[in-house]
Amino acid sequence: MNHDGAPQRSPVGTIAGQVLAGGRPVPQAIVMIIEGEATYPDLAALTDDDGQFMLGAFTPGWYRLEARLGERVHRRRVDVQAGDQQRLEIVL
Amino acid sequence: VLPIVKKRVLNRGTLRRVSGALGAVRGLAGSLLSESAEETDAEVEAELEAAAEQMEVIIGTDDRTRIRNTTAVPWRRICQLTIRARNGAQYVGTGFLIGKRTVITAGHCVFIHAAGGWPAYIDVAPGRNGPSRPFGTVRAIQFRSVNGWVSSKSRDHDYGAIILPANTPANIQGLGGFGFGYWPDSQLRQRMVNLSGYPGDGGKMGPDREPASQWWMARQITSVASRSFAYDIDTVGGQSGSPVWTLQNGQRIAVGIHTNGFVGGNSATRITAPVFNNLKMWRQQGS
Repeated sequence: MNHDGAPQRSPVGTIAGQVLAGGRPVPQAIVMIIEGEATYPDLAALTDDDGQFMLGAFTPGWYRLEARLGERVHRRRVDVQAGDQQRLEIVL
Repeated sequence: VLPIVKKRVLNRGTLRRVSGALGAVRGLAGSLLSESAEETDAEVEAELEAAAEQMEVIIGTDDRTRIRNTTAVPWRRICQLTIRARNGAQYVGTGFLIGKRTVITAGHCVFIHAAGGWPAYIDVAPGRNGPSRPFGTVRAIQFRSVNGWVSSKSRDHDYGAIILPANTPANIQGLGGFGFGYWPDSQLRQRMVNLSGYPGDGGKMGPDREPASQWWMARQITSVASRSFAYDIDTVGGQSGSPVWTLQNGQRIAVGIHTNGFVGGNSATRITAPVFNNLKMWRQQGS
């Protein structure tokens, strides 16, 4: 690491949760933000063996989240408040 | 409002104008490091013509174009990343080669604050094309970023690098790399830029959609700030770390690193003089 940049405010929210299908965890599903009223990192999460995922660094605002495994897709709006740690259950 | 699709046949004059928009810059300030592999003028012209033709099709729409021949230049220099965070979480992103063993990407691909910081490892697959990994996959454990990202979480300093291991196969070390440069505001405003990467949704709806496929799009820069710039190129999660490049005298020059989505315009960390110097140093470390 080297020293390019000065301190700025921290990101304020995370979105985490579990992806399920038929009551069972879904591993290797992609979870990502596809639209948002505040700027967000264009990183996608992959669910683990227990269907868990975590996306971080969101400023307050609304976001559209998409979870996908092949052609099975779930989209929803997520509202992030300052200091939020959103916990979602997503059914594909 | 429905998108307006402009589609027309290119003549030589149109091609020259489009080529100019894509590439030529007079009175260029700043500094450039050139691409590191050879191409003939004919290859450059053919790719330019193809890019210009595709650009004519996509103006006014949200369309992305799937790259099928990912073993060709420049697509083979764009890498799909599978990131294993320190806390066990997994992510997917994009990076691009600038040297034999140096892959540039977003800072938030190599240091994830909410998932333990530096990753345990990142699997790097240059030119991945769905299930096909034409150059194989390399597991990397050496990463670089800057204080502005790691310590301060500053969006303006969201960039980093992956240094591939010394035993990286020769076929990957020989893929060549993007050039990169820093340009003044006046040269970036409304400039046509290209972005290609690995969207997590597998691309636009239709027969070309496939997980881990590479998608390209080109549009003009819409706004320029001191440390970032924005564009209307469609991106989704997974494309963080994609190169944002333009053509300069037939050379592909990265001018930004895609990092962020936003309904008002997606954006890149701009390659400024300090970013340029770090990229140069990291390229040396991976040589």
